[in-house]
Amino acid sequence: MAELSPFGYRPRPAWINDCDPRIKLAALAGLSVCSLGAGWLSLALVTSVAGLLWLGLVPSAAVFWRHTRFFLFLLMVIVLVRALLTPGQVLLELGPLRLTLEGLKSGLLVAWRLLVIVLLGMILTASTSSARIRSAVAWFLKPVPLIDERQAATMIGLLIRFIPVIFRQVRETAAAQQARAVAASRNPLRRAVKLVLPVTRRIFLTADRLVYAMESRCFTLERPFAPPEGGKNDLPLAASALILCLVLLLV
Amino acid sequence: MHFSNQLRSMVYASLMSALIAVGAFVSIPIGPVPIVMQNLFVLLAGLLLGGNRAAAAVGIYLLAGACGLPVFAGGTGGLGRLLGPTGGYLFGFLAAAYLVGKAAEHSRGRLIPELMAMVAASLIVYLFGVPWLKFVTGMDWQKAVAVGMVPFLAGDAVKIAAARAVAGSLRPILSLQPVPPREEKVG
Repeated sequence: MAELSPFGYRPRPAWINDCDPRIKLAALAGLSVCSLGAGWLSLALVTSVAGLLWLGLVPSAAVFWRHTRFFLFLLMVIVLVRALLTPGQVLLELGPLRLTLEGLKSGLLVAWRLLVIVLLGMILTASTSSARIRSAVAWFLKPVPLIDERQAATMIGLLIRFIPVIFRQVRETAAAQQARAVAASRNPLRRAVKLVLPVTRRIFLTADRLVYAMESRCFTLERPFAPPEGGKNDLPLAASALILCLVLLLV
Repeated sequence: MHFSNQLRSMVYASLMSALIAVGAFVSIPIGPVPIVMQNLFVLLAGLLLGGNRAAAAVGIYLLAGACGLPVFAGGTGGLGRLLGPTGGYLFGFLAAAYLVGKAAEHSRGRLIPELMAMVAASLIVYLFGVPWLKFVTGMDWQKAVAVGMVPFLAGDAVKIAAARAVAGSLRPILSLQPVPPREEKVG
């Protein structure tokens, strides 16, 4: 079975897949901005909606965990650092370290906001093909002067497609090095250099092959993009996003 | 420019944008400004692609982040992130990539000019980032420098050395040599 990845779009029978990519992009931008100042209640509401959307797209919390486990660990560090550095009512005292209630609350709130933004971004990339994101970006960039919207949109499409390729090649190279006992080196810098060099070489060779593949298929920037089409769920999605933005701002 | 080279430039610039995004995905939060690997790939973009294409790579990365794609530090994205406390660093990357790229175009692979350009580029990132951090968070200058610059200087030195080493390894294969087609697919 092909691996599920939040960065890799696969057609799935989810209602959000058919929505207009322009509305999805606008909704994501709006929700990301609004969630930066959101409170507990509104975050709970947005997380519930986003969680249901995610489970509708990728019916596995394990996939989300696998792709965000390092980020979740970093969020835990943020919570801990805030809890230890913010003055307030002491909950726990371990020698010189004081864990405060105010710090814990503030850390959890910041971590939750970041998690919501990450979840929303993953929903967009998991529910929209890079071609549709490309056409939506081109549509938004068309009125902007000095930017070639077709080239910019194509590059964003390529960026989205390259990210899972890079992750896969890092994984494969690390596994190959582990099999050859390269990972046995105790020096983390040495290990990192030994990983980065072959990975970047392989990735650039992959990019070269992509260029040949595009050339052999007569790729040109003049080729018309598929228009960003919508579906019958556009209006509910736009209305839901607008309501959620208002809730994030007002509650 | 011949279309083949133009296409290759575009693909390489997109690839560098993706590498910058992956470098941002792993971030270590030590304060308002996290330690990330973005700088390494920004410098690498300049060394490998030249000024205009490196700036295009960073520009596309910023545009993707502004659209809300999860490409900024820790997998976040959105205009709020771009205008938030670390936004100055992100815009600083644009100037840094351009500077290193232009220096690399003129230095023809010589070590000292490239190292000096990378040091200057790292300082330019702070020139954008620290005042922005001070302005957005309301810190005083001393604290903004203490949390937004000082903790990263040692790491920057390592990243500059690593960028030069990786660029030296990659330059021979970026000379538009034909690569035999393989079954591996992108995506």
